Amino acid sequence: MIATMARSEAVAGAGEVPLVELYRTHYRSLVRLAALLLDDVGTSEEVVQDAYIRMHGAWGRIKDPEKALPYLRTTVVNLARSRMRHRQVAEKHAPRPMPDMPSAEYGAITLAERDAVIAALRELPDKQREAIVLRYYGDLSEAEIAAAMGVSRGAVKSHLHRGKAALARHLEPQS
Amino acid sequence: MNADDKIRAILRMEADAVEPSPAGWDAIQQGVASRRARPWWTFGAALAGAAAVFLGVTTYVAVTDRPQREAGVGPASPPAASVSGVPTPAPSALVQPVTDAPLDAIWPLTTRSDVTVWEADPETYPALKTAKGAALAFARTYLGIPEAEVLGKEQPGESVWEARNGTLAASQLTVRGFGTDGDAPYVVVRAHHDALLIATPKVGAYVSGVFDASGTFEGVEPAIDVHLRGDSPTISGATVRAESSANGWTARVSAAGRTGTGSLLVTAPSGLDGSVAAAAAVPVRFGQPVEPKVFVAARDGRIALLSVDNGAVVRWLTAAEPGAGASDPELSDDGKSVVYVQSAGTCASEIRSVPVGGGEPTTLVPSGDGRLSHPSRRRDVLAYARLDCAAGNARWQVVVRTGGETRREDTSEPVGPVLGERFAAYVTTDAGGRRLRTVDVLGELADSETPAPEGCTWTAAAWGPRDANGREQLFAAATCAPSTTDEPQTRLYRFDADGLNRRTVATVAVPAPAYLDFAGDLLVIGTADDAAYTYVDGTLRQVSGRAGRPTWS
Repeated sequence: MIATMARSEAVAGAGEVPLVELYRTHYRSLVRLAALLLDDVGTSEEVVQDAYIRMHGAWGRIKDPEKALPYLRTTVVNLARSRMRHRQVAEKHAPRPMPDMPSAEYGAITLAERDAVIAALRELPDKQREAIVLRYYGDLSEAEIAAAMGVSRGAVKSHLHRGKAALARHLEPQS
Repeated sequence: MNADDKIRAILRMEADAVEPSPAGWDAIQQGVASRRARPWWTFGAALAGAAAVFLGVTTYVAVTDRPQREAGVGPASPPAASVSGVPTPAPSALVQPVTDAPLDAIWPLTTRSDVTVWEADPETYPALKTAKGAALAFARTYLGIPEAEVLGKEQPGESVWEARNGTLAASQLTVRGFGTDGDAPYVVVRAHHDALLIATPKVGAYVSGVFDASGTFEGVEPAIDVHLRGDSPTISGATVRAESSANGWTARVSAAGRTGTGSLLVTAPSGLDGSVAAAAAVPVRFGQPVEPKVFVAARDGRIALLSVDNGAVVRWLTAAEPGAGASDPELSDDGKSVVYVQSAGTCASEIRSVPVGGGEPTTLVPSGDGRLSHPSRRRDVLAYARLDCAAGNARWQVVVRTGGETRREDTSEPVGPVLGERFAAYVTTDAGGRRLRTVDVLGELADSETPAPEGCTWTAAAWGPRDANGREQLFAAATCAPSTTDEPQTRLYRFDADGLNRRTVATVAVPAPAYLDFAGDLLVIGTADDAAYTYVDGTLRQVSGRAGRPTWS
């Protein structure tokens, strides 16, 4: 893979070297973010790949390189939202994989608790789920979430409040 | 931990289990290349001349379908008359009774026998010599888009092509090479459209009687046609109009009386001219899944067919010989022969093959100064483990023979290898514990090593049923003890073909499985002390008697 990318850089055009760098630094985390929104790794990869392809096409319009990551993130959220709509029928009947073992650092969280919270996350309305994932996995500020989702900061606050309340109902009380 | 910390930790745990495939960059490059090529199809008259030249160059790959197969079942624009220029392939040469391993491919080859016949005479379907040719023929003939063009990048293995109907992206075609090196013949294994999805049936699913097909569609006033197609020339296809609702589309389709393999094609017409605007298709199998009544295993130093019901020997496949006897049987991918190890002593063994239907064994790897184990054969590729006796126990190797080339990987004593379409997988041990390792048979794609989940130890690996996208999946068993006070349990995990994206699929009450083998969704599990279990539809059953390294027949 590394060799492939090195070859790619050697022949890359002006817009492609930043794309390579963005791929190296953010592809994995964006796929993981999309997987939280979509619960399907293959589709998540497709969504993120599509986002990179679209960003490549829009590179000339992205004047500030700092805007590349927010652009990618917004595109991933939008594409994931679109895919979720398509997949409603399939999702209803899809078997849920069992969770993997928790690691020691997360020893305070039980498997049942994790299961319940993830299941509740899947049941949240799309925008609440997006806000929660961007906040708690993406570690974005309210302003950044608002930009990624294309909504106001007030709406982000509301989505976060409701989404968190729904998830908190499944957390076990601290001993 | 407060609530915020817990939510954050849980999301991270869930997300960190996801490991993207290393093919991501290639897919992006391919997508970028496709975008660059779009002006060919969107500039209209200005480039019509160039397009005409291109069409002239590519007509050599156009083929006609088997006439019997498509009679009366095509989508809106029957293509047979307009796609010509090459001889019609002889139907008798390609249409085989489907009794061997299905490829889970859509068109035009659907079984391993089809591939064998094509390889004997590629001129029956010259379009299948290239991925582009296969994609173009599929778009024009199977999808029924006479003027279709395809965009993509030619490469061995799997490639993705956009089938275009004028300016419309009608379908995204996944083409796979089924040759020894992932090369020709190339066959379309999946047709996908973002706005027209098939939820059921799944890729390679069994359908019988009257069944419900369903999916989702994003469009205005959907008019969706569902075509069920068979491969036998005596079976005509059927087309029904789907009902649509806010939740998607559904269609009641009859597969009554059908056998073998086929495909379900879903098309949505263009509002302008009624031609195919969007199309998706999946391969299906007709009938009910049947659990094999026998499996192959080693018993008393010989290879035998054993009854699933009572573990009794149905037929011996090998004779008794002096020495440690026969062991490590594995069914070849065409289901016709078993590869196994015949040992004369600790460091004198050879790998042989014997027909399942009975016959004399043939030697594939002669006896040398090594101890051989775990042979696995897929077409012309043979993989096995070898201990170099001269160098002592420290020097195990996993050997992969591909045609005239041999790849050797130094390792600790491995469990495996098992061969998939592109990768060989095995469990190896290093200072960090046991790892699940996949190596590219051709030595071109990245190898991978996956540690077991925390508290778990890998014990065995096998290639299993395909995922919803038609991709091969790797399965591995692990013994897990979440804490020192817990009873160990055996878990079954699923991966992508490159060993990434781990998912737990089941917990089974089998102590330390040493062998796994799938036949479709049916799993047989073997242990180091020669116990065998079947795992079918979530039900685990132990087979009577001893059975070393069980493998489905």
